[in-house]
Amino acid sequence: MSPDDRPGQPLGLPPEQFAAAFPFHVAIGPNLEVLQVGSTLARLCVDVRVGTDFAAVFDSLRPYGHLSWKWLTENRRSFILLEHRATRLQLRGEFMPLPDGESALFLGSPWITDPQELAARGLSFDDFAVHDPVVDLLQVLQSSQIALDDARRLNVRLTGQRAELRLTNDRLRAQEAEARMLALVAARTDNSVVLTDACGLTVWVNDGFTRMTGFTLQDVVGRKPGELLQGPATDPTTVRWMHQCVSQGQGFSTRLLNYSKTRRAYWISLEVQPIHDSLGQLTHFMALQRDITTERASQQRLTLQLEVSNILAHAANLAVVVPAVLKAVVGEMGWQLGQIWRVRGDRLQFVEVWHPPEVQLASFVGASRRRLFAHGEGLPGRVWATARPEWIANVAGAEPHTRAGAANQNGLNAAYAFPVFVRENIWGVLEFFGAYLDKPDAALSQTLASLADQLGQFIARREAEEGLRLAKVAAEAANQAKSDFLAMMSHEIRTPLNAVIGMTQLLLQSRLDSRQAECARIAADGGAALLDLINDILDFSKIEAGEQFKLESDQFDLQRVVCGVVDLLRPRAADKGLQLDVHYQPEVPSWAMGDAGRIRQVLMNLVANAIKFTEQGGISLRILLQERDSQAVRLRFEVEDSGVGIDVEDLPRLFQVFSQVDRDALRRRGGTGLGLAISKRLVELMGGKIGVTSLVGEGSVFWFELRLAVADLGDYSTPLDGMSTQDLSRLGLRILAADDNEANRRLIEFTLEEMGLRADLVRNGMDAVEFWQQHNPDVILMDCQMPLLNGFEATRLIRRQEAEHGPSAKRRVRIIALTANALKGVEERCIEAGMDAYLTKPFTVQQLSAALVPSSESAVTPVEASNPPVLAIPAFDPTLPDQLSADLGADSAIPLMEDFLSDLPGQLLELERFATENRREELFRLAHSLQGIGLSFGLVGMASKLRELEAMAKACTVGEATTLISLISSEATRSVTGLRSWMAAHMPASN
Amino acid sequence: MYGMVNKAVEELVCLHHGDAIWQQIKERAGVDIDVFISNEAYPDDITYRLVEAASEILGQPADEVLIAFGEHWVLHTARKGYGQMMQAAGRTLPEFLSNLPNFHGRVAMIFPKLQPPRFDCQDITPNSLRLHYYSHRPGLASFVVGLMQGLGKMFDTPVNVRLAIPKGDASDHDIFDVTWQTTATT
Repeated sequence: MSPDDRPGQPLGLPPEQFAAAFPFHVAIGPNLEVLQVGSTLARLCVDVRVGTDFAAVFDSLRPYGHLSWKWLTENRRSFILLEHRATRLQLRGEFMPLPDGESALFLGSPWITDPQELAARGLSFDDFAVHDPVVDLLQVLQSSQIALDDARRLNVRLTGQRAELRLTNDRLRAQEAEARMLALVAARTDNSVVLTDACGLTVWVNDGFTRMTGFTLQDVVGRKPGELLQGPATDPTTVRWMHQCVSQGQGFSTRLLNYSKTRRAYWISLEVQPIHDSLGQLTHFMALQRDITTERASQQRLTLQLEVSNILAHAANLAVVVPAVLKAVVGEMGWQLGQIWRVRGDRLQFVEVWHPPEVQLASFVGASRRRLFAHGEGLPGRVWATARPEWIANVAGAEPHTRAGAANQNGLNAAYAFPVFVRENIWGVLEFFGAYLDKPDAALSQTLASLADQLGQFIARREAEEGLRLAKVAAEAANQAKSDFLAMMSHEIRTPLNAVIGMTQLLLQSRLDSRQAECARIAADGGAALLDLINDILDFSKIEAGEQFKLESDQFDLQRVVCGVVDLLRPRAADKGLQLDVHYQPEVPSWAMGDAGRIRQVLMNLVANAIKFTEQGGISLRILLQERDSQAVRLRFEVEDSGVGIDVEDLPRLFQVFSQVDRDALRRRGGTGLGLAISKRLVELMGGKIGVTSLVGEGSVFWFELRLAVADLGDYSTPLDGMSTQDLSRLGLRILAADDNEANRRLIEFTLEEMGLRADLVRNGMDAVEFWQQHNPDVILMDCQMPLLNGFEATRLIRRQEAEHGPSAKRRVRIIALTANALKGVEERCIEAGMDAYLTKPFTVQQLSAALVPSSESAVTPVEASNPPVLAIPAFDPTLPDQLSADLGADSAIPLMEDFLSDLPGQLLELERFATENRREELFRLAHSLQGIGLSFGLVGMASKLRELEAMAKACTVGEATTLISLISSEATRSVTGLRSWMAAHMPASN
Repeated sequence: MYGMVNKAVEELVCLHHGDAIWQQIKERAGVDIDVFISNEAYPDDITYRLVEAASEILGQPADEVLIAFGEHWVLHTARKGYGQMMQAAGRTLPEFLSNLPNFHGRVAMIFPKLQPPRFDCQDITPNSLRLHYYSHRPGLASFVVGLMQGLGKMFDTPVNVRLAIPKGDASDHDIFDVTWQTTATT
């Protein structure tokens, strides 16, 4: 191939331009040797060089065949697809023979369908000839690919939307079906359905509406339902509230009185709901109405009945009941006024009225108040006469001459009245008025009649109760009179009896011949029997009075109580030749908690009775354990005799008051007949029971059972023995006795003489106070009832003067009340007046001796108490604090004393606590310590008592310690007074 | 305008503001098209309305929206669809820019309804050229700025684009001065 034959040359193209125009061309010679290569191809396929064997580096893919000159010649003008073996680069193009006939030219360009291959082969647009459409092809392919992706995306989205659409369609179809169904329901339901626009103007009503109201759709469309349906008795407050809800676009539900087209009133339950469009705009209201007239009436009757029953059940009297019942009826029925008339002789008299306070009915109420109705006159009078309820639709017409004007003025048009019966007689008439008061139907009439019945029964019940109350008051007054009489009698009898018993006692102790002694003894026995009788009567009156009777609860020695009773009565049994045995079951505890005195009283009564009614054989007393737990025992006391026995028929009467089975025996044997009744009351008051089993001719067993708490005794031992009269006489007490009764004065004088004591005597309280002022006695025996100044007043005066003069000026005098009045209440009066103890006349030497010394328990001394004297012992010894002050100096000593005095009350309480809790060792230590300090400060009286306590604690006899500690407290009071005076005198001047 | 332009607006909004905002923008623009087909021609008005609505709803000036849109078009839309092709169009920014007229010429052939703009590069120096932008569509100069900035980022070449002579009395087309730093590429 000559240079002129090189491709491009024939067109006059310079080789560079040809190469630029065909960057992928190859020229080959007849032996298929490469003659010329385009620049880009040479870069991509480095083994394609001038001289390379074309067939060795390229294969023809289309048409398929072995590359040869002949093949080339045959396939000129054919579409050729070559593949470069090394790079797999495909070239598309054609072979064309060159003019020299010995060489051929391949014109083509790479076949690339994926833009990625461009980068992979390091090709850029500049590597292609500008006319080469491969770049455009790639762009088209790429665009199509992108468009295809877009189409796929669109497809996915459309598929999704279609699915969504199907769901929406299904939902819409369901909603449509439901709407059709609801529309059908709304059209067919018995309830009324109204659809209004947002302003409340009717757009649709169902058939139910027409049936209920009588109005058709044409009647109501474009109008507000209320304009047609509401009427004079429709509640205006509810209507206003409904309008408010509608104007605010709110739903509501309520109950309302409506009127039909024919003006029939009926109650509805109304529910209104707003309807909004999808944007939330209010478009309609839907109203559902249900006729509840029947239901409401029945509910109303029930409520009314319940309300009235409730009023009647809880009200105390008619004044409360009547307005409440009127209010209930008026309120529940929606009427305006209710009033009640009562039959008084031949007229009906106005009793009570009720109407809502906001309703102005002054004229009518005034007219009613002024009226009295005769039988058959006016509405109440007619109901009275006919004894039947009556309804009047037009008050003005029906009562032209009575209250019509006022009713008319107050807008009361209709009325209903019905009678109230009490025990089958007409008691009065209930009358109700209203602007609209329909004739009550049968059910309502019956309800109202039933209310009247209930009211009538209430009145009957209250009248009966009032009768009972009056009877009870009368009975109580009679009973009180009896009690007063008994108390007075006891006082009046005890005073002379006091003298009789006391004097006979003294007489018996004097020198008498045998006949005189016998007479005196009989007189003494008679006096004692009389005193027993009075005590029985008094006891019984106290038990009857109930609140005045108080049981004690103390630890006591049961065995000792039993033995005491037997010891006391054994001589009486022996006198009749009867055996008296005691069987105390070993399991029965000796100590218990309870009222020993009352148990003794019951035992005494039963055993004494047994002796009284037994002529031969014996009496046996048994104490048996029935039950026991950790805290209490149940005991049975049995008194068995071999006496006359009691008929079964008489047994029930046995324990009744003033009931003796054998009246003759009563007369023969004496006794009040109160004993068993008192025993029964006492046992029952103690929570027990009492009974008897008996066979006529064989004897009886009287028994009682009690539950008693078990006493926790520790080292409890027998009480201190009372102080002997000899001890008292040694004290040299100065005693004043004040009594207006000469006999009593003498008795006191003699009794004291017996005790070795002497008394000064005065006749009244005034003299007592005067004597006290002048002579400063240790003890005053003060009669309570005296002329001029009674015992209480005198005591108060003395205590006041003691307080005014201060404790150091005068020793506090001990005042013992003497009273013939044994009833409760006197004790309290004594304490209140400032007395220290009291004695009930007549008293014994022992009782008096016990009362003369201060008590441990309280300001008022029980007569049994018996305490050692304290008055003779000096309380305070000033030499001891003098010594202490000399040793320490008053500056140091006085603060010590002050500390001690402020601690002392607490220490005394501690002593008591230790004694009560049986803490002997602590009691000993504290007593010892207090004694030492007390002595240092001169409190010798207190210290001596503490020494006794110390000894007691050591000797394990703490049981009595509390009594002693009380004495210590009293002693401390006296001693401390001395110490305080000393301290005041020795207080350093600088302070 | 072909669908791929509107699609680019959609992608840009969805990427930065979410699908709900895109729906708002479409609603505001009155455009009820779910999927834009890239090689389908849509009325230019749609694109303008979308840009305007995006500007209003996003509270950004339209120019800013257009610049962002131009950048996004280059860096995401075109590169995603025509990545290899763009790569083949030039290894450097100047190379690419010099191919731009040919490129648009070919595009005009392939998408006969496109009516693409015409570009002409003149006064070419090693680090600048003057870009002549001929388009019958008004108001897209900022879009061209965005395109140029996007290309600068694509070739990692800091580029400065300035509208030297806006279309008007002085010139019948927009003329931009484009300068770049030559050291950016090897």
